[in-house]
Amino acid sequence: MATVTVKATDKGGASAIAKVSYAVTGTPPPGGALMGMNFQHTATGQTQESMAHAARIYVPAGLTNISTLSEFNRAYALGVRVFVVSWKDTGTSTIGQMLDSFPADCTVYGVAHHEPEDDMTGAQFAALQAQHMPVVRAHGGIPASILMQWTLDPASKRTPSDWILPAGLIDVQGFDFYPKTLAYQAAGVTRMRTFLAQAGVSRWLVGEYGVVKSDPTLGVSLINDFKAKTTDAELELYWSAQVGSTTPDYHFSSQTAAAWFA
Amino acid sequence: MATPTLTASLDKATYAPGAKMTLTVSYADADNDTGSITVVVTDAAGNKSDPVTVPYSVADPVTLSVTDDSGHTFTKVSDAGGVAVYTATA
Repeated sequence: MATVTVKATDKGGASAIAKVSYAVTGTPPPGGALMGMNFQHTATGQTQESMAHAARIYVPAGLTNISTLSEFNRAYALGVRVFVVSWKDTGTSTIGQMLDSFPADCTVYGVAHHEPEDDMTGAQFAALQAQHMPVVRAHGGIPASILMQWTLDPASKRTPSDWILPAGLIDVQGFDFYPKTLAYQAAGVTRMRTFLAQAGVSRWLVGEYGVVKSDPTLGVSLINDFKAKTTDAELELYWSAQVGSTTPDYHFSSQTAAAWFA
Repeated sequence: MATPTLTASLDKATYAPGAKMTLTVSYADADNDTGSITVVVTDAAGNKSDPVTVPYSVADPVTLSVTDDSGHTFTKVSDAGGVAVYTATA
């Protein structure tokens, strides 16, 4: 239980104090981030969804009422109240209606065109954010941007500074990350922190994280190491899915799910 | 010198991590500065009207401070003079 103390002092120095207490439920372990997962690409849901404290949801174009989306309804019914919603091809008026349709007890991070790849330039990305993020803020959401860690990797041949947004446009910076080794993970986390410093954004989250299902021993090691390195992130969302047959299978195993939500 | 009156309330008793918390503070101070304004109208011939006196009261300024023992930072989003609203992220 936490307590807020309010003190009122008049010009003569007389003062009064009022106290009000509250609790934050579902609090992650001290020093840790709020752990969640994707609620999509899982037509009937996964058993791990019941362990999630936060959900990542993709909003299809034109959707104005979140209660018509089965992924949202599944998460809300499980008690999830923190959502990272992303969209690509939708208009600002639609975004406002969609955000307004969330129940009042939900916290919603709004992400426009999360994980831009080679489908737009940094300037185009910034122009899109300049349109969408004020709408997110005006409708009670938390403006956020999510980049791939790969964008920060020199091997991508991209320039990270191209993806830094004007000050004040977003409140939270996010990253997606699929490490295959502990060494690459350490370098990737360093790159994220460098980007955060350069962007001047202190609040951050992990929009997607995944380890290959075929090696759960390595996966647990990566997850434990990642969580230890990123305790200051607001929340971290696992991507339990395989998109297409040619990409790795990042579905949870029982071992990696236990480590993620521990 | 009177003590200010003060009440504080949150919009909920419990919050999910990351949720918006809204704190509403109502305050007042009885130690107002009072006075009056008297108006007399005089015409060109020097005739004066009866005086009309209007009393007034100016509320003393009250300074508010908000602290949280769990480290959350509450930011003032409005203060209408008597009712101030603060928000924080749980």
